This record gives sequence, C-alpha cells and structure tokens, in this order.
Amino acid sequence: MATIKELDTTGVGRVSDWCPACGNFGILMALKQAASELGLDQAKTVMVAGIGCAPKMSLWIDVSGFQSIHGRTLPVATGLKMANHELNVIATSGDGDGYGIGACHFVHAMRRNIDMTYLVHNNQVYGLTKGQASPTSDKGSKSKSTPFGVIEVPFRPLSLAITSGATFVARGYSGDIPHLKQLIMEAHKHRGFALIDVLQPCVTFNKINTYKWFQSKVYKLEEEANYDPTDKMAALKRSEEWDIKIPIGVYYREQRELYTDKLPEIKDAPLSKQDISNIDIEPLYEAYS
Amino acid sequence: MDFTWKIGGEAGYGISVTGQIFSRACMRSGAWTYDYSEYPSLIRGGHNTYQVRVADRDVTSQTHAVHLLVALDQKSYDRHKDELAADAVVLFDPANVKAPGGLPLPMSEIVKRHNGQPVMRNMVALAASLALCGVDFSVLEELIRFSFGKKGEDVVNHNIDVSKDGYDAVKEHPFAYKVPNATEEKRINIGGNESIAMGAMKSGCKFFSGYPMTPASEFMHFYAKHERSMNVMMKHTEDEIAGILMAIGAGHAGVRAMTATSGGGFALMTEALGMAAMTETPLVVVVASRPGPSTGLPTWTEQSDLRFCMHASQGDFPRIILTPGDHEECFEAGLQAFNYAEKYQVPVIILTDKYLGANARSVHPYKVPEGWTIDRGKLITDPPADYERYALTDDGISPRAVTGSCVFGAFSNEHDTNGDFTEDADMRNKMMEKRDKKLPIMQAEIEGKVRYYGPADADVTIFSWGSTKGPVLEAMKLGEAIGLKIALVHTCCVLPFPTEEMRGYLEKAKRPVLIEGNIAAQFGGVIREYTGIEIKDKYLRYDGRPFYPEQILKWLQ
Repeated sequence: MATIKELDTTGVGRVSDWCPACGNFGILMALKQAASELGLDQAKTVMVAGIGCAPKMSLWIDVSGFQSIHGRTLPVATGLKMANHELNVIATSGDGDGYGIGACHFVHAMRRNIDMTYLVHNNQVYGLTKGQASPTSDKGSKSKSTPFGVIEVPFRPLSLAITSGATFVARGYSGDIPHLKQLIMEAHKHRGFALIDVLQPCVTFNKINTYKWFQSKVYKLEEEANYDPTDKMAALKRSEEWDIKIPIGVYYREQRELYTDKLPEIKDAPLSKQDISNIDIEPLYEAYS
Repeated sequence: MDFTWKIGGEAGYGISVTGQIFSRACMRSGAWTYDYSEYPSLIRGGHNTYQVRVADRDVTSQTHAVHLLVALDQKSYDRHKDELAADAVVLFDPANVKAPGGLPLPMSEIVKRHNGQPVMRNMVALAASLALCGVDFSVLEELIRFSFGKKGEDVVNHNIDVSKDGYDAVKEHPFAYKVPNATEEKRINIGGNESIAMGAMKSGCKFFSGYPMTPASEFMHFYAKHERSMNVMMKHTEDEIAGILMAIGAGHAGVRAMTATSGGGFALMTEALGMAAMTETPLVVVVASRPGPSTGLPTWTEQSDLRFCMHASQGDFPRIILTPGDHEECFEAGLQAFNYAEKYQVPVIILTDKYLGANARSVHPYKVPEGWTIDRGKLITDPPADYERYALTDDGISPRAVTGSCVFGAFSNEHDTNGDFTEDADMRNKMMEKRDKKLPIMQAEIEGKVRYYGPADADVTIFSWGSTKGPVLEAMKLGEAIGLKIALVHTCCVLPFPTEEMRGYLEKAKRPVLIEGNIAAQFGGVIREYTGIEIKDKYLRYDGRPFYPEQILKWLQ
C-alpha cells in the first residue's frame, strides 16, 4: 500500500506545472489520499488520460499511465480493461477533452458499463489552449473564442450520464478535498462505470466560476435526509440544478451487470494472460469446405 | 475444362449464397474455383451478380466469357448476353424471362409444385446448373445439409426435393464442360479478408475492435463468430476512432490486437495510428480499400490508398505495410503481421482491397510455414527494478513490459527513456533516432517479399503490388499461348520499400510496365522515389472494376 508520499512524483523529477492555486491540485490530492487509503497497487493501477491541463494529472501520481490523444481517453481505458480486467483503471479528462471532442466515447462507455472510474475536471474553459469557451461554459460566457458570449446552452454531463446508462454518477468540488476523496473511494468500490464530474476553478482563464462562486453555490446531497440516489428521476431532476445552487455528492447509483461479466472467454483468466503458443485453427476450415 | 457460371438477380434474392454453394459443389467434386461478385450498395433490389470460374487447374482471377448464365430476371439476361461464349447455355425461368435460344427451366413452377417460397427458385437453378456440368446430385445434397442443417430437417428435405426436380429437368441436356468427379484432396473456398483473419487467429490475435465498413466487415463477423469457440474478444465500437484505440489499449495490456476498415474509416484512425507509433504499442490494422475519394464507389474496388497508408498520421515514424497479392499471401500476412508488430513495436498495416478481400477462391487449407513460431520480440514479463520502457538500445527496440507488471508511463507526447514527458532537444533527437533505427532491421526482415513469376527472358515485365497479382498471372498464361513471354515482379510489402530487389529487376527488365488500380500511378511514383527509375508504360484502372487477364494481354499487345 503506497503512502501519499510514495505516490508523489517530485522525487522522480516530475513536478506539476499547473498554475498556482489551480483547482487541479485539490483533485490530485484527493486522488492520492483515496488511492493510498484504498491501498491500490501502483503497478496494477493505470491512469488513462487525454490531452489538456486536467489529463496531465496522470503524470503527477506515481502509478502506471497512458496518456492518449485529445478526447480519446475512454476507448484506450476500455481496451486495457477488456484485455486485462485485473487492472484498476482510472480515466481522467477535462470538460473539453471529455465532453467536447470525446463526447461520443463518453456516451458509449456509460452504456457499456465497464468497471472503471472516470474523473472529469470541469472548469468550463479550455485552459491549455489559453482560454476558449468549452462545452460546459455557461450561456453568454465571454472568452477568446466567444468575444460576444456563448450562444449555445451548456452541456449537462450528469443528466446525460444518467440517461446514457452510467451506474454511478457523482459530482465533486476541488475546493472540498475530504468530500472528493470520499467520492473517489466510493466510485472505485462501485462495480461499474463511475463518473465523477469535478467542479474546478480555472484561476487564469475563468473569472466567473471562481472558488468564491462555487463556495456560495455547492451543497451536499448526502446531507439531505430524504435524498435517494437510486431514484433515477429524482437524480435527473437534481442534475439540472445549476443557476441557484449546485448539488455535490452521489446523484445516482445502480447495480448492473458489467460488460465483461457477459464474456465467457475471460471467465478463467484475463485475455492478456492466455496462452497463444499453440492455437489450432484446423476446425475453422470446415465452414469453408 | 475452364468455364464460367454466372447468376444474376436482385439483392435479397440469395444470389451470393447460391453462388457459394455452386462454387463449393464444384470444388468438392474436384474442380478449382475462383468466385467473383458484383453488387451495388443496397439491401433490396438493384442488380447483383455472382460468378464462378471452374477449372481443372488452380485459377487466380475471373475472366469475361460466361458459359453458363442463370437469369432469374430479365435484367440478368439483357445485361450479360454480350458476355456469353459461343457454346454458352442460358438457364432461364420462362415465367418471367425471355432468353431466345436459352434453356427454359420452369423454376417458379417447380417451386410452386412443392409449396416453396419464390426465393427457392435459386435452388432449382443451382441444381440444374450442377446437373449440366455433371456434378453428382449427392454433392449438392450434402451441401444443402451443410448449409441449412441448422434450420432443421424439414427445411433441408424441402430444399432437397425442390433441387431434385431442377436437377432432373435438365440432366440430359448437353453442356460442353464437365466437372470431374474425383476429389482426391481437401480444398477450401475462402475470401482474402477471412484468409487474413485466419492467419491472425493462428498468430494469437485475441482482440478485435472495429466498426463495420464495406469491404472490411468480414473481420468483425469472423471474430464475433469465433468469440466463444476460440476464446477471443470482438468489440463493435461506436466509431473507427474507438476501434483503433481499444486495440491499442489491448495491445498495451499485452494482447495481440487488431482493427480493420476501409479508406474512410482509416481516415478517422490516422491520429491514433501515430499514437501507436509514439507509444511503440504493437498494432495491426487491415485496410481493405475501395474507390475514393470520400464515399466513392462503396462496393467496388481500387488500389488508391497506398500513398494514404504510407503517409497516414502526422510526423515521421517507421511502419510496415504488407500488400498481399492472393489468398495464400493474405494468410501469410495475417500470420506475420503480429510477429512484426511485436518484434519492432511498430504499427503494421495490411493493405488489400475489395477485389482480393471479398472474393473467394479455392485453395489448399493453409499450413503454417516450416519453422514459423510466435515471436513476441522483446516482451518481458518480469521487469527489473531499474526498468525503463523506452531504454536506448543499439537496434532502437526497447524491452517491453506490459501494464500491470511495473509502474511506467506511455505518452503520446515525446518522452524520455522512462516514458516521462519531455521537451528536451537532446532527448527528442535520441528518441526520434531510436525509433528510426528500427528501419534497417525491418528492411532485412522483409527480404523475399518481392517475388518473380514467369520466364527469366521475358519480353515484358509487369511490376505490381497487392491484388493485381491474380489477373496478371492469368494474363501470363494467355500470353504463353500466343508466344508472348510475360513476367511479373510483385511485392507483398511496400514499406519498408524493397529498394535493391526492385532496382535489380527494373534494370534487368527488357520492357518494364506498371499495372495498378489507381489514376495517379501511386506505386510507380514510389518505385521512382526509391530507385530513381521511372516506368513509363502504365496500365491504370480506376473505374471500380478489377483487372481482367484478357484486357491486360490486349493492352500489352
């Protein structure tokens, strides 16, 4: 079991290059705490990431990593998990990477219910490309790419997740590390595809959705005595809340068979551990004779 | 004996199943067969054809002349009557077709007599065709059991009864070509795509992910069909991008993985292809091309994606492009591609086209060449404590641990020996040069992929790649008959380019000519790029149709 210090990468010369006070730091800390508390094996835990500020997180935690191309986190993570279901797969992405260019993969990964945790850092702006509006930018937001304000309505990741078949749908806030750590641990323990959309201020390019702004808006779902996260319609209703108050916590969860549960070919051993040295194809010729 | 049987009708009439059974019946009786089909991009209606060349020797392409035509509708007669040989027989249903001089076969009437569905007219025509060429009825009976057995005894018997009447109706009628009833050896009738898939399966490829696209969907079907019996995984993904990425993910986890598509799908895959190269993840991609640009002619053939495959994805990186010429070479490519991908940790593309991929031919069941084994290159299962995934080595190939065995990163960014992101100029040079170092060893690996066919003192030497091999070999036989000595220099590998072998043949050729299926003479350009020699004489085809041996000969003359 790795300690938080052992998960740190500064010792191996990898030092994070996020802006000072970036919301990503809170997410990284929550992840390290969760990984340490869960006792995750560093080699068997793979962080799969795309491109952007958020996906850089895979560099700064000392577990196995695969940094894919922009928007293409989930299919690589899926291939890895299908090939070796003994791996702990954590996918990470940003709102541009995951909800913009990668939106198609997002929908289908949830439908499939592969066992993995998907952390999306949602700061409502493209940071690494220096400040364009993202799919989750509020209507009217002004940015380098929208000097007259965003015309579209924002992408609602949680309602899309609930209706697309995700079996664990949560929202965290990078300003509340203990709460986020708890969410990550729950997501990891959940058997199925677990989405955590993490609200995160971009201190450089997003001057609206700041720490102060989030601080005044977020409230915890679990503090409501009557909230039932297995009630899909109730979850859907909450997932539309944004303008006045924003719920954080587990919106929705259900138990559903994994995609890989239905594959008898990996019942005895992961695909990656099967012997390929002497495969007999003779019986296949019959169909062509 | 060398004749062609052809059936035509609307899509949805069971044309291709009928064609396959005819071909297999002839093959089981002792003939060699080459199947060729044409179909438009639709599910019902249109005009589909399936033709089978039947011969007493191994044949490698279709020819123009038709000797036995089955006209299920008027269009089939009208469109193909000009292809009929002088001694041809036309089987037609007098209920709906007029074919002067043809042999009427009351298909509808026979089917009605047995209370059958109209689609069973095919069986009547099929049985009558086999009767004309002397195939024993028992061969068809066995094939009906083989093909419809799963549908139950009633369906089998119903088809046999209908067929028997068709068979008996014409069995006394003369026909110039008789299939010998002597099967001494086992043959299979298989398409190029499935031949590659068979090689991949033997080679331990356990993971296929992809998206359907004509003419490459057979790969998906093959892997899906054998998922349980062969313990492999097939994932139909949301798009081609996910198709290639999942294969890369599986490859990174240590599983031999592949995807397959046509040009349009490959266009979507190109960014990920470069990622496989950058992360040095073994990957095999089959590109079964069809005429472009864009949607082009979706169900026809063309060789216009050669340059595209050679240059797909940004940046410079080594890759292997295999271009098998016939069904046996397809199996060989499927068998070797995964060894190459793992040995060199590079993407391997197998480039074919609709013509070779989709059309079946009778061959001996494939045997693994003597001495072939699975070669996983520098794969290590127990990495040392100081393991570095991208260690600098003399040959540019680093020991490869798989995810799960130790902590390491794989990044689409440039990285250092440990796999960590870097923008250091010196490290960048080292990594570029490390990947580039694989080229000379890969070059040695592909020796023998340029193959010479025909007499050493040929009057004319044809240079080609990929699927043109079959029709050219047949054209060589036609040339022999009229005293024209034709040779073929064919390559099953375009990258690394076999420069020295190719230059040697070019310098020796009395009259070098280029034959390929695209308007830009892409292969000719590649030859010139690597050898400095331009082949001026070019026969190019880009109408979606394959080369025909008769036309090649005519053009050479």
